[in-house]
Amino acid sequence: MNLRSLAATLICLPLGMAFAAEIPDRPEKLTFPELTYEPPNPGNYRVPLKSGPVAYVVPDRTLPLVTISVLIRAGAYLDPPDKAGLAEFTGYLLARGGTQRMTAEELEERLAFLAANLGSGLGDDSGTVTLNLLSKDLPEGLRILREVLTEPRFQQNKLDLYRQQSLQAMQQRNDDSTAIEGRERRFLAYGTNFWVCRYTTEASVNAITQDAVRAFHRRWVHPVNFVVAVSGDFEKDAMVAQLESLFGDWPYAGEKPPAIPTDIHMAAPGIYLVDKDVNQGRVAVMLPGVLRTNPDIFAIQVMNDILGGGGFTSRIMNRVRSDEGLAYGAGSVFHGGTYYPPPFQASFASKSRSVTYATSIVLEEMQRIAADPVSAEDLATAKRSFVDTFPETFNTKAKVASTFARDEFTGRFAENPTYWQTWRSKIESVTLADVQRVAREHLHPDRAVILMVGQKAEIEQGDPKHPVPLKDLSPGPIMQVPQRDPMTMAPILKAEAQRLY
Amino acid sequence: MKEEPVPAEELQKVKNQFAAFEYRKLTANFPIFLQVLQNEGTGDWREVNEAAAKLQAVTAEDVQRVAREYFTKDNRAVAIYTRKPGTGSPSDDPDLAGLSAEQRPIIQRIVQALAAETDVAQLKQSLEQMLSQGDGGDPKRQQLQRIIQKKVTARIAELEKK
Repeated sequence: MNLRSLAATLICLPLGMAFAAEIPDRPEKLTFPELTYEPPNPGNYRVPLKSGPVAYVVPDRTLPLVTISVLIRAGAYLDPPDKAGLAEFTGYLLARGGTQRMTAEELEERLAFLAANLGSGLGDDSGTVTLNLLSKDLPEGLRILREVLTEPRFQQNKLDLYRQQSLQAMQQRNDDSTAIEGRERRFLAYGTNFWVCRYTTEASVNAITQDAVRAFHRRWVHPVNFVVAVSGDFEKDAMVAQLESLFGDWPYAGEKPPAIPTDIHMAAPGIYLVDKDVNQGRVAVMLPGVLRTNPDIFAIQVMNDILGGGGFTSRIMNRVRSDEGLAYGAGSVFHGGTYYPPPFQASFASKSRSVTYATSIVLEEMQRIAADPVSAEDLATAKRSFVDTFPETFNTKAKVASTFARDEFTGRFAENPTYWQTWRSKIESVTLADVQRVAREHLHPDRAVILMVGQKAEIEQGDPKHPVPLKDLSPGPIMQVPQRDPMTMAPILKAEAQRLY
Repeated sequence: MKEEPVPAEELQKVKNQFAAFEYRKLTANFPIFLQVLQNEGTGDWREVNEAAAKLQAVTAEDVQRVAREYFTKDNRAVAIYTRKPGTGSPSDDPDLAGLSAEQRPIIQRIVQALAAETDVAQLKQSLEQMLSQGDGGDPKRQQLQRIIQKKVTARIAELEKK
């Protein structure tokens, strides 16, 4: 008896299925039929609209709510170089800056009256506008959504306020070692000139005018760049008709964006140290990553789960935290990228003196999983954790619609329409030999790019009981990376990076 | 509230919010589980199905009637908080300078709770959690978090000295 099956039992009750007589007196006496689960089929929900976008329409009459989510093919990769932040500002203000008919305040008040949640944002490589509201108010909600998408007001005082908040947050960029580590990771993984490393600056944010926001909106926020996910309390054909009028007769011409640039340049292997006076050092061990279309992607997921992705059952967590008590959390991620390969990353935070010792353990585990086959039991545990949590991917109708819409958006549906149907069998078919093979292919501790953010002197001194010199962690150079000016992102020292020894 | 019935628009806004809020709590299995559990804990799990209709049935007259029934002088309890100036009270803590009147009591309550906490491991774990969770980029929260982290760190140091 676990929590989930208990929950499942309870859920049946409010639906009026009259199980009362069959409920035993003790929860452990409950019995359940064997679960056979099949994921939903995207073809059952896919509707190419005449007005342009592809929509995934998933009716669900259990609650009187509707969720409409418009995915937008636009993001920070379209920012002009001197206006970093333009996509972010445009996305934020779309739903919050009013429309031609309503001021920002009137829009906010009307949404509050309807108890409707409307949100918008443009991220790195995609954006969304999402509306969730009571189905009785759907016609008005769709009118508001159309106004927000086609004629947003981008009210000047809301733009000014967001700029002010952005500048204030910028001033605090170096206060927290987590933020420093996050930025430096990107610089090392992709190269400072890659578009994801184009951070906002005081100058770029001040260059974002209302005209620039309007122009960005008119250029990219258009049905040619939309994929739509709709779920909730409606009848399918009626919803399709409503979507056609939502996206039909667009008042301006849009443009399809260029392909997302993929020209990444990972830093050379070595140790990169940012000196920051904090009592915990943060460490990231990085190696070149893979795309999600990599034929070994399932073996890589299973291997990484055993190494450091599986939380308390993973090796890195077990050794760094449970055995040695050096960190609260430690682990690794090895995701396949959609457009460009994100790096393999193992990371943790530890007190300054134990940073090098803990790093040596992480490298040792990377070495070990490549050198020795994992046990059949470890392999089975990892596979189970993937297969048994698989139904959560589709545990609400909103997730069915949004997962399929995302696949349409990124091209996965076109490449592999049975991706989810075959997902579990691909996990199940990973062998012990596959795990070792992909570990050997991808995990090379001697080629790692190792980032450390913390008290340099203490880190160098090492752990009194387990002294590990920095130079033992990598055959590459040890570089000191300067902190960056929070308002310009320029390195505070003149030199880009300084070789220590 | 006692003298005039609430306008229809204002009542409908609140009803919409109750409806949407209650339904949103039932959109996935785990929240449904919690709702059933909580309703059973406060009387009867069936309320998970029945509360929505009861809330929608409330009229402006009902609102006025209960306002009249409960907002009476006899039912009233008033607390007035004042502070004595410059006597080393918690509100003189220099760490609290720059915080708003709403934020100060939050930190003061945490300081009081910390004084009662003697489990160093627990405190360290909480601190770790705070550090690892970050601040979500909200400058107001960052300031509060920095002070809380300082207070927790100080308490750990104090306990470890003993």
